[in-house]
Order: sequence, then structure tokens, then C-alpha cells
Amino acid sequence: MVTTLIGHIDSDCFYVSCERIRSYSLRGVPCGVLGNQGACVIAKSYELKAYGVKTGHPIWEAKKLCPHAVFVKRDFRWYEVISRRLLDLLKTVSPLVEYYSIDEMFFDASELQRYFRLPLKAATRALQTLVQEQVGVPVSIGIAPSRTLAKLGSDAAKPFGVQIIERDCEPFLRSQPVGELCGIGSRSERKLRDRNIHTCWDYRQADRLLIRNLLTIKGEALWWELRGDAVNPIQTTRPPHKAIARGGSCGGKTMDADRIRAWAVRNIERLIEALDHHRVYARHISLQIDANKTALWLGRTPLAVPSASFRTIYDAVMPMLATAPTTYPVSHMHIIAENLTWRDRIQKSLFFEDAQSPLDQIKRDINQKLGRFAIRSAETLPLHEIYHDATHNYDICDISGKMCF
Amino acid sequence: MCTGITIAWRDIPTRLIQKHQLDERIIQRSATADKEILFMQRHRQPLLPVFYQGELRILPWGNRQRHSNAPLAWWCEVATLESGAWSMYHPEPVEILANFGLERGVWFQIREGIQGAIIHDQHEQPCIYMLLQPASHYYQVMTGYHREPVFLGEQI
Repeated sequence: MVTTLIGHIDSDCFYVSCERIRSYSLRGVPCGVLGNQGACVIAKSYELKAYGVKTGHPIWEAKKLCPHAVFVKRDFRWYEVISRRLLDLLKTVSPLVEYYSIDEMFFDASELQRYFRLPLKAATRALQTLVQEQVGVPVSIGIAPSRTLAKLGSDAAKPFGVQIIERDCEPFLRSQPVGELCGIGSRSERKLRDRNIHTCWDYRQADRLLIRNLLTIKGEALWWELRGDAVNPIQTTRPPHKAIARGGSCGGKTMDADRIRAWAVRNIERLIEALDHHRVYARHISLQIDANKTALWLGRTPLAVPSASFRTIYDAVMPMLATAPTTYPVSHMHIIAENLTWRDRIQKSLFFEDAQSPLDQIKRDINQKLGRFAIRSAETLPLHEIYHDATHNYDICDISGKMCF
Repeated sequence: MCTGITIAWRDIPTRLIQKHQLDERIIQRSATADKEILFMQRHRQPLLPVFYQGELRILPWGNRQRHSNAPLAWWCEVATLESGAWSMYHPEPVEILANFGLERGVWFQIREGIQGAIIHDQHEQPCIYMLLQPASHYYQVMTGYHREPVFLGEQI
């Protein structure tokens, strides 16, 4: 479906706003949401931001910058509830909605005026008020002919603003550095700066083939989008995953072999849950180990047949783990399933074990009935403090249907 | 150990604010934030808001007077209580009401409150002791302290 107007709705300090819905006392308070270990600020209110606290700051720095700030434990189950409320509300207003991330959504805005029976700007304001009243979170909204312009608009309108961007929007694009574009990272920004492209307007005015040579077809798509041509459509369902990864921080640096193995097994079990959810099997398994961002080690093992069996994936991961260097303490670990194949499209074999054993199915059935990790491998016992804390059992990657992290 | 708590000013009845001169303890974290009443263990007259015998009361936090036979402390370990070491004082459970707690310079949110124990000394004067337990991994990383209060209805 071709849309003439695309909207981007972006929640302002989403995690803090979610906490403020259920806790009135947090309103107006400089507030930070801490990560799963309680060490890092993963989200902050505008009041806390004013003191110079940034996302990723450790708490011991944040408390020095703002001694009266209040810190809250993250709760992704609650954030998902609010996120889906926002999604459901948006679906009543728009025929096409893309669940881009937990706090961002794209939608077809061409019916907005008719729905609210108001001019576009007033209708956008009405939508913002509706979200505030019914969901309880403040949002910023950008409306434009393309999603790139709409996202630029909502980012520029923050906090709690709306921005309507026309196809001809030279003053606005001149005010936006090219690094603000979604998809332009620091390396791409450097390449563009070398060609004297500093603002979004410079990018739009640059030669299309130059952009394509510099930043491939994705860069060219941005070039078209900045001119108001919607080449990236709204996607209402998530395209199939090319790879699925589970992992993250190991709860601080560790050289304890038992804890490292325990983290590997925990990540394998989480990965199998994800493979079950998406109804796919993996043909390759990779293990990535990060030693405090100073050393990166990556191993890759092909599986004899596509599989989502604990035993098969365990047998692939553990030899890789055994050969990983042990000179640095491990801080992060990821286990990645690649070359995914749909479960109903694999060739049955007489000579290899099934893609999932009866034990895997029993484990899944019990955990679905009694709760996540009710049954888990005994090798995860060294992580008793992680399993003891229920908030560790639900992470942002467990929220399904989003386009990106 | 938790050395301070705050509770929303609007949650405390005016008569209690006047009776205990709580106006001097009012703080506000920002111009748009609610007013809070601060209860610190270091205060010259440490107090705690508690829900006891069906009503909200403001009672002394711990005991620092040697002439009283109540324990000279502000906190009580759950393990100590369970061992029966305080049974001679006939402690009763009490709910300490709080919105935010302070531990080693870190303010954290408290959803429902903190479990406490109330003891009456030989003059029938009440003392409130905050119950402590070994800290969770999260609490320990957040505050850097190895003991945490016993929270009502949640685990931080």
C-alpha cells in the first residue's frame, strides 16, 4: 500500500515514563533506570539529563552528578505492557503501523486528519493528547512524506512536541547534522564530512551516485527519503530473522571457569527458547566472547543437520568455549544461531538425531506451564543470584515483533 | 543499611505534620516534583512513619537512650530476630511507609514499604527497628552495601 504521509511516534524517556505511570511519586523527580546488574544507567528522565547524566553512566558517577536522583530497577515486562498499549491505540487511528522498537512506531498518517476531523498539525496534537490520556506516556510525533524525514521530525520535536515536515524543508534539513540520520554511524559521518557533507540538506543536495558509492544502496535510500520519496515502506510484520543471538553482560568481569560455563549454558537455553518461538532451526552456531572490549574472540561451528536441540548446541558451543583464550576476564558473551531454516522445511534424516529431542520438548512444556527456567541445566547453578532475581528472566530481546532492538 | 527514607508530604495527615514538627523535614527534588518528608537515622530526633494497629503513626526510629532497656540500635537483622535473641523484648511486626530509601548516597524507589519491628521499653515508649537481610546482587552493586532492608511485596 502506498502511503502519502508517514508518522513517527517516539516516547519521551520511555522507561522512566512507564515507571511514572505506576508510581506517582516519581513525577518531576530526577530519575534513572538501572540495568540488570544495578550498575549502569540505561535510561534517564529529562530532569536527570539536565545534571549531565548520560545513558551508560555507572551509578557511582551518576550519584555524584545528581545526589538527589532516584534510581529504579528496570522491568521489561511492564515496559512491554505499556509499549503494546501504545501499539494497540495507534492501530485504532492508523491502518498501517510498524512496531519499530519498544518506544518507537511508524504509522500511516494519511488518514489522521479524517480521523480527528482537524487540520494535520491539530490532528497530530490530538493524537499526542490521546496517547498521553489513554496510555500515560508523553510522546513526540513527526509527520512527513517519508519515514526518514518523519523520524528526523520527531527527534527534533522532543520533548513532547510535534513536527510536520513538507517535501520542501530546506531550513529544517540545514539545521540537522547528517549524523542525526538513522543509519549514519560515526564512520559514515566521517566519510561524508570528508566530502564536505555536514547537514541533511548537504546530503540531499549531493550527487546520488556519489552517495551510492560511499554508502551503498542503503545510503542511496536515505538520499531518496530526504527528498520526500518514501522508498522504505511501513512494515507491519517483522521480516524473518537472518540470525538470532542471545547473551550480553556476564554480570561483571570474570575468569571463573564455572561461571563462564554457566553463562554459556544460560545463553544456550535462552537461544533455544527464541528458536522455538520463531519456529526455526539453526545450521551454524557462533560463540562471541568479549573481554571488556579489549579482546574479542569469535568461534563458529556448523551443525550436521539444522537443529534446536540443547545437546547439539551444547556440543557445538563447549569445544569453542574450551579453545577461547583465558588470559583476559570475560565481560560479555553472545551465542548466535545463523543460517536459520523454517521448521517445516527441513529434510528428515535416518542417520542423524532429531532436531529436538523428547527431553527438549518436555523441558519446554514444563517451563511454559510453571514459568521460565523452572527447569534448567544444573550447570547454571553458579548463577543462583541471577535466577533468584525475577527481572533477569525477561529482557528487551524477549519482546517479540519489534523491527529492531 | 538504609540510613534514610522519604514519604510524600501529601500522604501524611496535617495533624501529624504539626504534632511532630515535620515541616522542617520537607524536601523537594525539583520544582515540579512532589514535596517529601525526610526521615534520616542521623537526625537529632530520628523518627519513622509506620502503619501500626490500623493507623499511621510517627514513632521513634530505634533507641539511642541508655536509660531505656530497648536495644541500642536502629536496625535489626532478620536472622537475629528469627534466632529468638530479641524475644525478651516482645517485638511486633510493623510496616514502615516509604517512597524512597537512601543507602550510601544512592536514592532508590520503594514500592510498598519496609518491614519493621516495634518494641516497647520499660516505660512503654515505642521504638521502631528496620529489618535487614543479606543484600541481593542487584542491591549490592547499586549501593555497594551487603545488607538491604526487608521490602514489602518486592525484591530489589
